[in-house]
Amino acid sequence: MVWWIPGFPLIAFAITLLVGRRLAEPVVAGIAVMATLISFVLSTILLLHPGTPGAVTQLDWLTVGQTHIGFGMQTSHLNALMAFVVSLVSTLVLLYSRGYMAGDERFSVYYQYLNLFVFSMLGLVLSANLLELYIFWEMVGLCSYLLVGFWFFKPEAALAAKKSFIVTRIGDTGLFAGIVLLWLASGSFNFDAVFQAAQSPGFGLGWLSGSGLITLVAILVFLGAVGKSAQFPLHVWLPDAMEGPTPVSALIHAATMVAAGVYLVARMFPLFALSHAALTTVAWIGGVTALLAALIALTQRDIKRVIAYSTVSQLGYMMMALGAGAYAYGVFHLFTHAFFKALLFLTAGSVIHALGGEQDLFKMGGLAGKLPITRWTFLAAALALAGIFPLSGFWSKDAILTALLAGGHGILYAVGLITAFCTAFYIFRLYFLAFAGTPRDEALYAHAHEGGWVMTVPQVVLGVLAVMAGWWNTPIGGHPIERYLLGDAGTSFFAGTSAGDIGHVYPENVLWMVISLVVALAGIGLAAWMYGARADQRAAAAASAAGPLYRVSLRKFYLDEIYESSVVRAGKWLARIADGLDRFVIQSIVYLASRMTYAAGWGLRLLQTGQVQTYGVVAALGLFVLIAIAMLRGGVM
Amino acid sequence: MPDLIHAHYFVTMGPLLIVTATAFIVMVLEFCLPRVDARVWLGLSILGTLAAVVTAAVHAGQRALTLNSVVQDAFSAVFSLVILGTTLLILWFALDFARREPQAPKEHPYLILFAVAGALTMASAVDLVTLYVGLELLSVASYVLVGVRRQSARSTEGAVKYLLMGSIGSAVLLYGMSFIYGLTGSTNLYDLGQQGMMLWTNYPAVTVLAFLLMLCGMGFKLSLVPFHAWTPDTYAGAPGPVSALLATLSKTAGFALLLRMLLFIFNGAPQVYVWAGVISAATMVVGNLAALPQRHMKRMLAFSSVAQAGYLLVPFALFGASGYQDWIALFDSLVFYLVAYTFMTVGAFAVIWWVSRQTRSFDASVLDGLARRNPWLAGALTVFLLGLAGMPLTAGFVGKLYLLIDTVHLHEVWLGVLLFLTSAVSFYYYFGWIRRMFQPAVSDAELAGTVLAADAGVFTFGLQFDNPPITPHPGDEHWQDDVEGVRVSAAPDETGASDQQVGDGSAGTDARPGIVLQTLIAVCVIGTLVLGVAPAVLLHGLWAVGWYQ
Repeated sequence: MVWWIPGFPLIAFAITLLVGRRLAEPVVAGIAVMATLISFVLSTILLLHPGTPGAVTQLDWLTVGQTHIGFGMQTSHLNALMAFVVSLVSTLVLLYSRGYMAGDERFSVYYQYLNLFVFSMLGLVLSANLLELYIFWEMVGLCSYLLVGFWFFKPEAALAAKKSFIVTRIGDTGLFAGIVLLWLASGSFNFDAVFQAAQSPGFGLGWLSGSGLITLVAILVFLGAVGKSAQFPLHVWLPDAMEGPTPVSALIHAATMVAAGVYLVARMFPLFALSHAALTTVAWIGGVTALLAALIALTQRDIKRVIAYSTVSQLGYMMMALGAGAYAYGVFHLFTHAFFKALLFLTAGSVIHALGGEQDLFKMGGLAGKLPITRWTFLAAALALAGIFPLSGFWSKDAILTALLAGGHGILYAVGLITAFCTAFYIFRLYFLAFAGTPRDEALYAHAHEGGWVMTVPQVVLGVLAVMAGWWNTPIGGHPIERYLLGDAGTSFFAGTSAGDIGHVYPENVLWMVISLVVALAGIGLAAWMYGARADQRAAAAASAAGPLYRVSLRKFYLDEIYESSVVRAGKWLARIADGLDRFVIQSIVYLASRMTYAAGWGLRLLQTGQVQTYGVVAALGLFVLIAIAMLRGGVM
Repeated sequence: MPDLIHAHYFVTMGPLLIVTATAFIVMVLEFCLPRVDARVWLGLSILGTLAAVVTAAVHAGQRALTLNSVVQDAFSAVFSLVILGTTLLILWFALDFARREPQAPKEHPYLILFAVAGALTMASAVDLVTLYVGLELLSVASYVLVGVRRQSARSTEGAVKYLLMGSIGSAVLLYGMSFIYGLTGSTNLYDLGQQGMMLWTNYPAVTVLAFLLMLCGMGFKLSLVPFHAWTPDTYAGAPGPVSALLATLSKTAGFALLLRMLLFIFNGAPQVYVWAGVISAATMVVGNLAALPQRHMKRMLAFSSVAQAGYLLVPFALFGASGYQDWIALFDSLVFYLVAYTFMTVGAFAVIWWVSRQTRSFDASVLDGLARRNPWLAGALTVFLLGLAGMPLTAGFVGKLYLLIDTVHLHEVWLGVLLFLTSAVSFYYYFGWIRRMFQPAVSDAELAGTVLAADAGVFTFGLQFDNPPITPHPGDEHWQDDVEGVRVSAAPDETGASDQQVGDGSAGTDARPGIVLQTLIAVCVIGTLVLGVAPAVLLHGLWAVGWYQ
């Protein structure tokens, strides 16, 4: 059964690839949505009956020397939860896309790519070994590239596609190096074999001791996660990736693919748990990312960019939780975040759709009346993101903050709290700018309207989830998701770990809950004061009062400029030198070689006279020469 | 009296007996009923072959020896199955051939079966004399098959060249065998295996000489360089299914014979295998280089199959450098590549036969725009060419990868490097065809879109060819040279690139291959892709056979 979870999207991909161009739009979308829906139903069954965690069904795929590499599916509580989230959000986004992309001349191609993405993503979260995971990892990267550059005739989109692919590739290189090192040291690509080898005393490689190797590999694997999950300093690609269609942003760049980095760290958690240094790195990179991205999001003018930086920030939150050892909380936040962040993008898409493609916040305003469903669902998602009781974000965010404080990470707790304040501020700044007050651009406002049911139904479903998804892990129910996730510990999925290794669990503390709630409310209050209906010029006054600080945030801490002047410029110089070498040295050698090869081919034709006598003479001569040399050299060469 | 089915000679020779019996039945019936359509006899042959496949599969796990000269072991089981599978593909191909060319002679079916009987003997005999008889049975049947179209000058010429060169090969092989017999007084491979060490220590010079003579003698049959010159003329002259038979079935059988013969006789002389490496290197280089300027499609496939024989000889060069344990990997690589090669080659010959029949020309230019005229056919040929070139996700890639791993593993890296480099050269001519098929099919609007996409950096899979023109643009001066070149330097009676094989004027209107040819091509495509994506399908089976049991 597990095979069919990625199987159905693959079938849908094959159908749309082969005959998609000839089918009508509703048929293409219908096939895709149905396939994903079946995957979702199967994932739900798997979620409820996951069987023995770590069970693998796999086929022999390749045999290299003594290494047998399989290709298969592994089930566990973590994988089942991920498959559930991915297939659920995919189904809704595929349905929504039917409305958003209607009329696009490459409509079927769009669904092709999306089907391929859903297949790859489900394959990724169900992979049975590291090599398979890496293959799917690259495939989701490829799909992201194709979809970000879907409107490739826009130069920004093409550039953004290139940027996203190249920047994540930097991280992928690290991941690949980590996988190869693990294979060299353990002789296997299988997770359980790798984990067991890492815990054995003889683990090591050449001059690298066991603990050194584990730290190195963990950080290399984390580098892959940094690229894919847009963590500092490789986060720069994600905001640019917003050039893709908005449903793509919701699916790939909010709920699923960018969370793959978090999943990777969670999947490899037994390895991270063995290295204090690696865990600390993860926690601090996560913390820095969370704060930095939240500060940048304060001042952005583009509606999608604000949400994109919010995604980066929230992914940092998850990393922070994993780094602090709170495995279950990090995954829980991934779970709730997938719903409310996908919803934020879908509602933003609805706004953009209603305004005919306008993305500038300062041209919106007063949309609450025109787009009631979008407004209310957006409000639900915003409250969830801000962490307001009792919406989903509150429970997962508060769990992380509790874990940070109780785990003795005081500074990170402060970082998390400041981030929470900024988060509440920027998302309500967005809300007030877009939905409250009076329209700033009457022409745009006049045409605004809700999309059809295909667009509103996914919003409403996600809205319900954004409100309620957190209730599955409240103290009242006895933390079901937490217990569910920790069920993986000690099985062959997390070979050689105990529940204590992967799950630091902390009881809720009502005082700390109140603190984070007050901080979030303060953020919302400030936003209301500055951008609310009666705000007048307070925002501009605040901006000029903040002065340079405001500009630093607006210009995204000048990171793009720093990269441009250092890495990119150095790269361009290197490229120029390489180009010169290539043009004048290598190309002429290649040209010469190809000419000579070709000439040799022509020369050989001279022997091909068509006369059988010549053939016989050549053969006899060849035989004679061979024997003569062999005899002269005594039979050996 | 023991019952026939369970007698040990039925275990060892069951498929052989069934195929031979079918051949005789078809021969007699065909003589008695001359008016019956050749397809009936082909159908009967296919049924016989299927029975042989079942027999071979049922007995695959058993081990037996008959008359000290025919054996059923893992080796003969695997190679018999490969040979019989290839036979089915070729008979299927011949079925379509017989439908399209009803005036073709009807000797076809039973001659193919006699060739198969010879091939099965080569795979399962353990006596030099029996092996040789099998080889001659295959060869003689092939000579006749090539020349079966008596009215075609090309066909007769190909047959005569093949006959002459093949006879030289047989003579050289026999000469080598006679040395071995002279030294040991035995022709039985088990006896010879016992004396392997003695041969090398006592008579090194004669052993090397015998090795070279036997290798080169088979080199004529397997079209290894420098004994390959007959190959393009013969393939070009033979009917489509027969070309495919020569390129696949007779090579499989030849490699099976060579493998068993050399491993038994020269097991005590690891040093001599290096000469297989030398010939393999020469074959890879010359085969690929000579294929470059070919414009006649069948001649190019012929040179390509010469090059592929060079790849297949790579494991032979490694037997000397390795212990018995490593041999298993070499057997696996060899069989895998043979199977992959069979699918790709039969498929390519089938597509080429069809296209040239439609256009009545063997010149590569008839492929221009095939993707637009018949996208499925173009897609299939692309798969075969990519496989032959060794692109990932095809069986050819996995096969080459295993050969490469073997060379690295056994420290004969130079062969691996050569394998890699010559494969790179081969991309040139394989991709030339692919470009022909797809390039002109692009309309102006689409082309503009592609250029835009390329500019934007989205999804460019382009391969830049800015060196000599194998597929020149019209108006390019080299274009003229090329056509002239074909005229002056190819076989004497070759007039440009047209050929007489293509029958009467009824062809050309029917633009779609029949269901028979379609299934053949589909099976080959699926084989190529499945083995490329999930090689374990075959490797697991080979592993389960266990070579030494």
